[in-house]
Amino acid sequence: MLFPSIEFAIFFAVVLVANWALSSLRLETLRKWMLLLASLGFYAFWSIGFALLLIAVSAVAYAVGRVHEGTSRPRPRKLALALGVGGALLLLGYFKYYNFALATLMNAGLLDLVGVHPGFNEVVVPIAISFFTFHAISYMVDGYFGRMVPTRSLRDVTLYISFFPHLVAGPIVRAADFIPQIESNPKTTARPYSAAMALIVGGLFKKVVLANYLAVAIVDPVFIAPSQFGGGDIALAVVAYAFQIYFDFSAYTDIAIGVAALLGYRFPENFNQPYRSLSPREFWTRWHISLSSWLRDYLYIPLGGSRHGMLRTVLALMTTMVLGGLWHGANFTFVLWGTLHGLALVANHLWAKTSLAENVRDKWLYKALCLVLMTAFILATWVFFRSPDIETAGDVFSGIAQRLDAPTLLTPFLTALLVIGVLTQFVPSSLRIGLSATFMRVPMVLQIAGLVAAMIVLILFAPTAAAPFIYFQF
Amino acid sequence: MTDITEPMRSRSPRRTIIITLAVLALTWFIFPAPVASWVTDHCEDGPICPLLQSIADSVDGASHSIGLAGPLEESRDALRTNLGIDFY
Repeated sequence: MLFPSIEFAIFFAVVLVANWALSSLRLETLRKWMLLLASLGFYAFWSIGFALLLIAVSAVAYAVGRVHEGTSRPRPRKLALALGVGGALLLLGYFKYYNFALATLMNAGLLDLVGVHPGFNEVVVPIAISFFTFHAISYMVDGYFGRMVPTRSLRDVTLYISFFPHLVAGPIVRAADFIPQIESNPKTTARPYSAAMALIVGGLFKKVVLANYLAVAIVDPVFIAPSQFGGGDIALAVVAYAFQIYFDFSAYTDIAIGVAALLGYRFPENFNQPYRSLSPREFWTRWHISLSSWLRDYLYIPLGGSRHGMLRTVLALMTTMVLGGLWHGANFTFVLWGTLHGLALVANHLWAKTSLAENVRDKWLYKALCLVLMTAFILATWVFFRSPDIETAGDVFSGIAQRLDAPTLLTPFLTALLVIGVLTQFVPSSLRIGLSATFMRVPMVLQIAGLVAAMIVLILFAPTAAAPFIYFQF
Repeated sequence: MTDITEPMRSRSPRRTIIITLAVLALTWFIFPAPVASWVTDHCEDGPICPLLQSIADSVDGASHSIGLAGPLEESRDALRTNLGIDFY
């Protein structure tokens, strides 16, 4: 069930009314059961078997939480955590990385050396498995470190892990942030409804219009066969992909945040104008914030972070970013993407410690140079992220280098979409907040008229159907 | 966190429901064809299908009869033709 679909509109209208009807009748237990069943139904829309898997993962996380709550002795607590997290990672590895690891070992000839020839796994990868295993890990780790008290309710743990707004493509919500929200029975929406609905309508526009047109008109044809296009079109496709993935993914999280808010729950922000970043470090505080902060807190810092000398910092950074790349998919293109970002973060870390960096940090010329270099770096790394294999990525780079000519795919409409993409990165957030505040003050009838007008514009520009979100595959 | 200048009604669940349902219903009324064809595609022989189809057709007919759906659907088709893209 995609967000921009009639199925979801009907589903959400029913859940919204039921949520607040049960809340106003003070039937909180029933309300939580309703949200849980709705979330499992939302996931079972893809596969009932996967919904059962989701319940099993939640049950394991719950059991680990019960051990953490039931004893203060370090040994059983550590053992429960290791078994729970290890089990979650094994599950992820089995479904998502088994075939990749097997093919890699086979291609390297290592299986022939040991005389073992296991078969490939033919099961389908459960949708969003990377997201729900990370939520389960967050619950177990947060309970272990005392960041929240593990709940006594299996229903609440399952609701946290399976809550339909974040289930499929995030944002990754910390257990320590969300479990208390489930337990506290919200009485009002988590954001002003005008802000929540602006996020939903804006997200629909970003996905259905901006991301879809850029994908179909420029990105997809070029990345299928780069050698059939001139360098200008290939370069244009790389730029268009940078905006497509931003619009696509930020659209999903905007809708998720808005939908959760209307039900009374607060999710963290996931994007903050990432393409205005002046350094790799800044980029990762603006892009997929919920994942980068998750990796920082649950992987980078436990690996030592920056507290144990330069070598350990470099190792922790590289491990985090390579695994972060691999999290996106079982393909060397993602590994390379993560590795390049890791190297950039290491270079950033080393440069920031020099006296020269200290001296030039506030100069406008230095900032302009940083913006140009960061933009080039981000665009180049997106090539690996989007390409189906390393060879295609090589074709993209060689196509740009060998025959850079004027792009033929660019139309005035597509130019306008790219200009909108650039503007979204530099428009001050105060403008968005001001518009939302103004909207909130007008009479309700005018608010409805404004939102319907936005929906009409959306439908006028929308294609007959939308492609799945890019992050669904992760 | 609640903004102290923000009126409480801006977070009222009742107003949220009214606005959400009103926006969905009005959007359906203005562009009824997608819902009508969705009902046709997804509901063939269930017990409530005739009722759903009848409601979808009634909304479609009402919107066309007051001159709303027709011109907007034509505008959308013209826009798609001018942009030269219709996909997925």
